[in-house]
Amino acid sequence: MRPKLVLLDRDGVLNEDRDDFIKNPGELIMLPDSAAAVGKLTAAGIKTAIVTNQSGIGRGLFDEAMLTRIHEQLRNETARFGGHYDAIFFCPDPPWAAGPNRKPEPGMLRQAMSRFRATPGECVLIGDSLRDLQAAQKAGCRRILVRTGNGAKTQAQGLPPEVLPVSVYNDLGAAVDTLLGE
Amino acid sequence: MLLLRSILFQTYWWGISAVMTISHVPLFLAPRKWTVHQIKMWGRVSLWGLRNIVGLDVEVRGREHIPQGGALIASKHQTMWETIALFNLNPDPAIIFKRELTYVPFYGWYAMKAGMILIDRSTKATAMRRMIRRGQECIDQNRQIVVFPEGTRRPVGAEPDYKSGIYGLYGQLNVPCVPVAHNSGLYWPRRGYTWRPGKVIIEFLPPIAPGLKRQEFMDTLQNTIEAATDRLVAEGQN
Repeated sequence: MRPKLVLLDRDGVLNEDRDDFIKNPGELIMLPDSAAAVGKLTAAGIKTAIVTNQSGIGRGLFDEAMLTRIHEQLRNETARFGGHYDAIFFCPDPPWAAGPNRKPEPGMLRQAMSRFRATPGECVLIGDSLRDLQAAQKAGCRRILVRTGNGAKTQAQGLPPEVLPVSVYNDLGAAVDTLLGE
Repeated sequence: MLLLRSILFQTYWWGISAVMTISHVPLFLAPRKWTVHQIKMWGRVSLWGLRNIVGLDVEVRGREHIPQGGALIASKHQTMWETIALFNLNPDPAIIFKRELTYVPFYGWYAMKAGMILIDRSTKATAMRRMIRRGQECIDQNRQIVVFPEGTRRPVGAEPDYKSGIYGLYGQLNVPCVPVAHNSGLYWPRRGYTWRPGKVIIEFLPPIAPGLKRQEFMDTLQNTIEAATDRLVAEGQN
């Protein structure tokens, strides 16, 4: 079953993650083939939404206006391959004041599903961290782990039974090719 | 001590197996459920012997995922242990066996009478159609189809070797598939006759919903079973 909506984590899935946060557009470096993979989803008529924790805002490292500029850059990089994000959801909460939207909580995922009128069964989340998988499990949608970013470490540390079943791919390109396969 | 316990267990096991197997034969004339019940009884008696003679206990995790109706159960296969355990833990299982098994006296008769699914691995296309037809009958009767997707027993730590035959059932029957992991290979002898004391952990994992395409289903199944197996094997080795 082809998904209606693909929920994408951002850092470590679309672009290279940084320990000190992506604080301006200059620090945004796309992962190889990720923009092309989003392009394939767009071409297939599948909606895409980013669901990303951006605690850098809550920590006071950058503001929402800067995040908007970073996302403009991300949209431009992706558009070069025909890729389009139908929505971008972010959660600015720092870990010490985490609300229901900060992953591993499923708030953002639920918002995205209701925006596109998709049931959990029609959605797939693609992420690189355990908390992405946990959020997807709580929201009831399928989940894919990519080994980019945190992904290899997440896999090596062992996936707890409650987040299974999970399928694992080397990167977003491989995950999307499988989703769109025969 | 280990060897002594294993010899004792083996004596006990052959003894009770012979008695239970032969004494039940007349009841092959009774309905299928009687034989299912008898096999479950034999399984309990076997596991009792393991616990009390060898010192090998069982921990079942994820019982809430054991399906009460029709579903696929896809398990890692390391030893004969999980054949017994999966038969006993599922309400009314139909295990997929290779057809050659029917030539083994008693064992094969029981498999046939209890309504197991026997497949001929030499003729592929017809075998697949037959398997799907038999599978559908089982699902219609709310039974659980138990599949070992690697086809055969594999040693602990061996490179995974999943065959896509299970997709034929999953895709055609449109039922959820419950992945199962365990670490029986650490305790049950692959060759030889030495059982090790300890505790086999068997874990029923959350089901894979019906409807995935072939590649995604196979990837999800393998990743899920292997991730959980690695974790349980590591836990058993600690």
